[in-house]
Amino acid sequence: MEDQGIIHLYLQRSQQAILETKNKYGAYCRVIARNIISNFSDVEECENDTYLAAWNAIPPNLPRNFSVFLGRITRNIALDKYGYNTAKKRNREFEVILTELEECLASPDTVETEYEEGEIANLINQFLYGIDEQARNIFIGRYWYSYSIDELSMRFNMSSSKVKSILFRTRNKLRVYLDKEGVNL
Amino acid sequence: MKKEDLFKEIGLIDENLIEAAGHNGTEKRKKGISKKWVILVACLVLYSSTASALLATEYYKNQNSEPYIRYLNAEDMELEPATQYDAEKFLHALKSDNNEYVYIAINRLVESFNDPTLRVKALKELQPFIKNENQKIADAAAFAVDILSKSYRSPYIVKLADGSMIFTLFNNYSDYGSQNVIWRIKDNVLKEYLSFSAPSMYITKIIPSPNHKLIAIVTCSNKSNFVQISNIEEGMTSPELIESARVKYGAQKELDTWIRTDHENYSYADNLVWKDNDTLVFEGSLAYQNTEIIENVTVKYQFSKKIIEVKEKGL
Repeated sequence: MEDQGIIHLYLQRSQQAILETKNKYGAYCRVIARNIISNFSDVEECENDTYLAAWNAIPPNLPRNFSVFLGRITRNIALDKYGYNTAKKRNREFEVILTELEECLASPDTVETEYEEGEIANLINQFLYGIDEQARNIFIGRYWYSYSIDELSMRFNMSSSKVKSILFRTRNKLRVYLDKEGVNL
Repeated sequence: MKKEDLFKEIGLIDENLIEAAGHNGTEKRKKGISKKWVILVACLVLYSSTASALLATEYYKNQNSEPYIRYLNAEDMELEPATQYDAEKFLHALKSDNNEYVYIAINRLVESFNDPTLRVKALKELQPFIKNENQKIADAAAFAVDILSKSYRSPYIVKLADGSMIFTLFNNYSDYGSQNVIWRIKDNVLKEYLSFSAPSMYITKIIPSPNHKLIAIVTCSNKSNFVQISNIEEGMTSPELIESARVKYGAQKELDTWIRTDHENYSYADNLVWKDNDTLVFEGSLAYQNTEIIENVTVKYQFSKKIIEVKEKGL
């Protein structure tokens, strides 16, 4: 079923909408959740919470891109669940992803400024449009889809050291960019 | 801002970018010995061991009367005996419902290799884990069983010309690679052979030379790659090749080549190939001035002559 058809079912408050979403995007949501949390039952719970959140959000929201809309919900729910898990239960590979992102943040002795939600995302958008396509896609693959280095090296047909290097350099550039824009994270 | 918040902010980037990234990329030797000689050698051995024991006793007496510390290390300063390997603890951990404990126990049980009784016991206990639904646990168990059963069929094992074998444990436990310890089985005895200090946190690759006498070892941190060549049989290791290449090429091109106190080089190696039994060639991406300058080069290293050549890639 086309995305517009599924959204139409949500608007009609038909429970078939959940079934159609699960059929088309269930695997996609599970991959996003599994890259953040390792526990199987947590992943399942995450998927179901995503359907519920979509049910509550449409209407009034009308997603322009349904897959990204669902992905964003799954990602946020999975991140919250990750935060609740104790250190031993956490997904170590996702921990590495977060540690990498820490390099983009200012040093602890810098005074932080408060930012509104989405404000930094706009700057990251501008930054991503300004870099080359491959580096951009690898960056999004790692920090949006939370793909492992091996998965990225397979997808982009390059060695894992090259992937790591591109990511490192992109993070460095992002930190410099945010710094130039006067952002203290 | 916390790292989790930054991750959340990245979640809000442009939908077009996310969708484009989602679709991008392709999945892509016996000679008889006369009795006379045996008696003579036995007498000499007896004499030398008695003399050594007397000298040692004298040494320890003096040592106690006048303290002399040859080298200070952290363990000695703790005034506690070193922890002994305890296979029973790891066998017990196999029954844990924590997958992480099970995974660690499976890998640590390989260390029971030298004790025949424990080896057989570990083998028996590990078998069921080969079919575990967790792929990491199943892979670790298959590897441990391969070593403990002495089958040595795993592709993770590097067989050397002298008949010994080397491997790592905790294979690919991280996105970055395996545990930074190289284990060696020689004459049916398992020993920890070599480990790397920070920032080499993971072993990424072990590539043997065509005659299996030398090995190229690639290690990494989350910022840098490191390459060393080792002759395991003779116990000789080359200098670290990426930093050596970086310093040499920096001097050739008159670039500022500072060595950081954390020893991160922000550089990496790719396409490592043995050109012959002695020469390793690889492509390097060398970083200078805090990654402001990136130089793509071809590095060639001759192990026996200790000669390193660094050329701009394509020349």
